[in-house]
Amino acid sequence: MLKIILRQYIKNKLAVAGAGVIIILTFAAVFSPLLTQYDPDEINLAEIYKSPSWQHPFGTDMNGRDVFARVLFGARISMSVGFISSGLAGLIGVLIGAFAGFFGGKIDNILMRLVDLVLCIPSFFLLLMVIAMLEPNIYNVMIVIAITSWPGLARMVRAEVLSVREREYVQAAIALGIGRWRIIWRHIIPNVMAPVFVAVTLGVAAAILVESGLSFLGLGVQPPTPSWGNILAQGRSVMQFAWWMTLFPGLAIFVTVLGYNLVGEGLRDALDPRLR
Amino acid sequence: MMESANSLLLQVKNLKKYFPVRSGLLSRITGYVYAVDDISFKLKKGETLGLVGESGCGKSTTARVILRLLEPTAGTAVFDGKNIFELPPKDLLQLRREMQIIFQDPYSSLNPRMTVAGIVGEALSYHKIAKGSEKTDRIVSLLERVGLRTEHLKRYPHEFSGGQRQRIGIARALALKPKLIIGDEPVSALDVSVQAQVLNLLMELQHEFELSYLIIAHDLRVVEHISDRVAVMYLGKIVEMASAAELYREPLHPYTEALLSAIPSPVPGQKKQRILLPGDIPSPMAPPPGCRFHTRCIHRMDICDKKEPDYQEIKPGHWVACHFRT
Repeated sequence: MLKIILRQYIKNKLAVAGAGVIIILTFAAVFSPLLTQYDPDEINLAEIYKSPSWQHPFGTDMNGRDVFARVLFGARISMSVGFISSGLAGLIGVLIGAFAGFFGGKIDNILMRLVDLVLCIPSFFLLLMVIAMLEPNIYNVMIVIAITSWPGLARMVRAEVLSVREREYVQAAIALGIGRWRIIWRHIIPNVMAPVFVAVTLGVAAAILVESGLSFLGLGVQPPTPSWGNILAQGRSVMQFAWWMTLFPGLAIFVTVLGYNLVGEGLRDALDPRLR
Repeated sequence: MMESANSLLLQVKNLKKYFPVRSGLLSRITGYVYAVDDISFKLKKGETLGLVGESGCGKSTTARVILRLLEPTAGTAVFDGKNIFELPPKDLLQLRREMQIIFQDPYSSLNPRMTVAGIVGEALSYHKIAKGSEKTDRIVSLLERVGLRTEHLKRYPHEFSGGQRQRIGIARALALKPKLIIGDEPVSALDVSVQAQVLNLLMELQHEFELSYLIIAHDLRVVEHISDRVAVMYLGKIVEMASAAELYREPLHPYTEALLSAIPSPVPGQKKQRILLPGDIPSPMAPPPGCRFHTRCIHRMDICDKKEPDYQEIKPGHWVACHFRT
């Protein structure tokens, strides 16, 4: 099963490139202290606004901090926000979707109306509002992204569960007297996971974008902790002469989001037996 | 008489299952599909009852209602002295261990994400019947009994052929040592040669485990091979029931006659008198008045569209519902 999926995935060159980008970026995030000699928070007022050179490949900012080091450490923030918030959204979405689909009736109705409710609210404004009320830090950002992005997933999972529930192996499990929770856990959820993986992967890209946007507006990760969004924000006013402060974090966001989207689409094609 | 009462395993009486049809904005009930409409039959211990009929006549619904995978609309089904339809959830769980089902499609009836050991052994560990090496031993002996091997334990369903998958399904059904196995078209998705193997396996298992079978099929040859008695269903009703030998030798209902005439002859070139039924099977949402078969019957009489024929025993053990024969 896995072998077939892998073989199918490798056929898609763009998806392989996306996976390569993500693997490199993940390594860079994990081993960032080893990849640069500079401390991202070290202020050096003798070296402010230096353009890119061998010493500072991405230049320095208004406090003389090395932008390459800041972008590398920013990858940690972006990656962890992306993974954790999308994973959390996946978890909530799968659980709620599975309950709604399996139990049906009133439970289904209540949960799906909740989904409609959350989908009605423009999510970015909800984010802004919640963050403005709470303290803007990385954990709140993760939680808020997760609670605004699960409904789509829940709907998708519910639709899958409705079809899996009628399959004969589920009927056989009921006839064997297996309990409902175990049926959901062992028979239904494993068989609806393929599209969930795709959605969660694409969700990582979306979450990274949202985090960058929030940090850009000053409502996400707070300086001096580097994040791609707040490096961009700091570079915005000096864009005309210190272009490297906006170009490199911008490129980092672009490449990462593109990478995740390519992987997501590659996975979708590889997991969908109809496209083989 | 006492003896026959003791050997009775399942008695279904006046079983009905109507599916409501909803339509419109408020999803009001605008009609019913009369999937199973007032059927009764008995099944003795160690006996095989075949249930035949064309697709859509309510055979599978009957099976699912007896297993309570669907809730009945009306009627009773007494299994081993207990009414299946009135059991509280706890007793239902116990009862489910005594009745099992084998499905038609060997591809959708096994969870693709579980190994064979997981599929066959799930019920054993869930009901705390066996665990650890004892469980493995039982799974292995079940697999060997249905003609699979120990090395198949760790494999996934997609690695098997249709016939092997059906054997896995049979092993799963046997795991809880049931008294009754309902086969919902157990062999109709298989090649003819494999069909015979699986049917023979089912018959061997019947003697060994003292099983009773309710075998649903649309292929009369399959049913003839395995059944003691056969019931013929048409549009949610049983129209004829007799011992297999008698039914095939002397069918009384015109529908049974037509079905039997459609069996291809094993001798090439031999001409058979086929009875062609005009028209299609009527919609189960609006069954014809009177005898449900009158729209297609070759022996149709005046009374047939006015009065529903009684289901009566014409000869000992031979029941039929037809005005033409009574």
